[in-house]
Amino acid sequence: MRKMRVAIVESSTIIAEGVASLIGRSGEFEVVYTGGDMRQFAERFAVVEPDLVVVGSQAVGGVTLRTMYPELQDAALVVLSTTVCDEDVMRQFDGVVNIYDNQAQVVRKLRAAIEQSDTNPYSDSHDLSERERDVLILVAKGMANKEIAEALNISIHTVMSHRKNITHKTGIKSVAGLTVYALLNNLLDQNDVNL
Amino acid sequence: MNSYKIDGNNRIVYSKDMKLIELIDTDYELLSILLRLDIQLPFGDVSVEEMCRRYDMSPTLFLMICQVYANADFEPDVESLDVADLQHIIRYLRASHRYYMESMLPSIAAGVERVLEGCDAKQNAILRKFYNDYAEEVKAHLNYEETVIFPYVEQLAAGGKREVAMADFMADHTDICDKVDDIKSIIIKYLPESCTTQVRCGLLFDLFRMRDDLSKHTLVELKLLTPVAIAAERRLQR
Repeated sequence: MRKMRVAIVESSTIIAEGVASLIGRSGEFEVVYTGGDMRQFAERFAVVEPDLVVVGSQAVGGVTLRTMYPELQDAALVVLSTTVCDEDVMRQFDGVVNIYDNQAQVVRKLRAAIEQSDTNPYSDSHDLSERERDVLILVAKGMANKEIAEALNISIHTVMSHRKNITHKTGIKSVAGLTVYALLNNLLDQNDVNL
Repeated sequence: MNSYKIDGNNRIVYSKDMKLIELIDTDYELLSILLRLDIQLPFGDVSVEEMCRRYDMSPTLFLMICQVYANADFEPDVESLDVADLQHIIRYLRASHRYYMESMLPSIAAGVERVLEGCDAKQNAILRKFYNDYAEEVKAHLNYEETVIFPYVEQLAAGGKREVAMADFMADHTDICDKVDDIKSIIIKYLPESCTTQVRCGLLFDLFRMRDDLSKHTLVELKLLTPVAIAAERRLQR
C-alpha cells in the first residue's frame, strides 16, 4: 500500500520536527513538507500533493482555512492543538491531535481523519478540485502537458497526475470529450476553443 | 433433440452440425452477423454447414467469427485457415463496415438528434460538433481499411504481392472505441435535466451496442485477418 503523504504547517520548529519524526516512524505516513507559514504552503500545495495536512493551531489564525485556501479541499485537515481554540474554528477539521497524545493515538487520529475526509484518494469524490479545473481548462484549450506545466508552474508529473484524476472522476478520456465537459460546466467559453 | 455438444465448462461447443437456430440461442447478438452477411430468414432447421454452403462461406471461418463475438477468451486456431479464407474474412469485414455505415451510425445519429432537441442552443452546438467529429473519425478509419488494407490483403490472397506490410498496417490501427465511452459519460453524467431519460437511454443502448461491436470487429481483424495475412506474406516471400 502506498504511504499517505503528510504536510506539516507549524511555526514551532521543535513541535514540527517532533510530529514529523513521530508519524514518520509509523511506516504508514510519509512527511513530504514541513513549514511554518500557511500562505507559503498553499502556494506549494499542488506540487506537494499531500493527502493530509497537519496545521498548528496558531497557524489557523481563527479563519476557515478551506475558504481562504481552496487548494486545501484536496486534502484531509487535522489541527495540532497546543492551546485552547475557538470551537467554531475547530469544526472545519477532520481531526484534532493534541501535543500530549502518544504515537499510537496520533497515528489512529490521522488515519481516521483521512478516512473521514472525502478527499481520500480511494473515495469516489467526483467534483474536480480547483487545481484539476485549472488543468482541465488548459487541456480543453489544446495545450500540451509541458505547456500546462509551465503555465501553472508545476511539474509535468503533477500535470499528468491531475489529468489521470480528471479522467477518473469524469469518465472522459479524449481531449474533445473533456472540452465538451468544460463547456457544459461553463468552465470555458465557446470562444476560447476552436469549435 | 439438440444437435450440439457441451464441453467441460458447460459451454456449448460450436460445430458445423448445429442448427442455425441453436447457434442464435447461444447468443442472440449473433443475429447481427447474419444480418450484415445478408443471410435471409426464415432458415427453418438448416445446419450451420448447410447455410454456409448456400452462401458460399467456409463453415470453419463462420464459426470462428461467431466465437470471437460470443466468447471473450476465444483463441482461434488460425493454422486451420489458409490463404483462400482471406477473401472470405475480407468479405465479412466489408459487410461489417457496410452495416456500421448504413445501419448503426445512422441510428446513432438519429438518437443524437433526439438528445440535442432537449438541449439549449449552446449545448446543442458543442455536442453536435463532438459527435460529428467522432463520426468522421470512424468513417475515416473504415475508409482507410477499405481503400488500403483490404485491397492489399486481396492482392495477397491472389498471390500477387511481394511486400511485407500487414504488421505495419496493424501497428497504425487506431482505437475508435474510446470516444464512445466519453459520449456515454457525458450523456449519463453531465447533460442537462431538460433531456429526458427515455431519449438518453435509447441512444445509450445504441452506443453500447456499437462499442461492443466495434471491439469484436477489431478482434476479428487482430485474431483472424492479421495472422492469416502474415502467414500468406511469409509463404510468398519464400
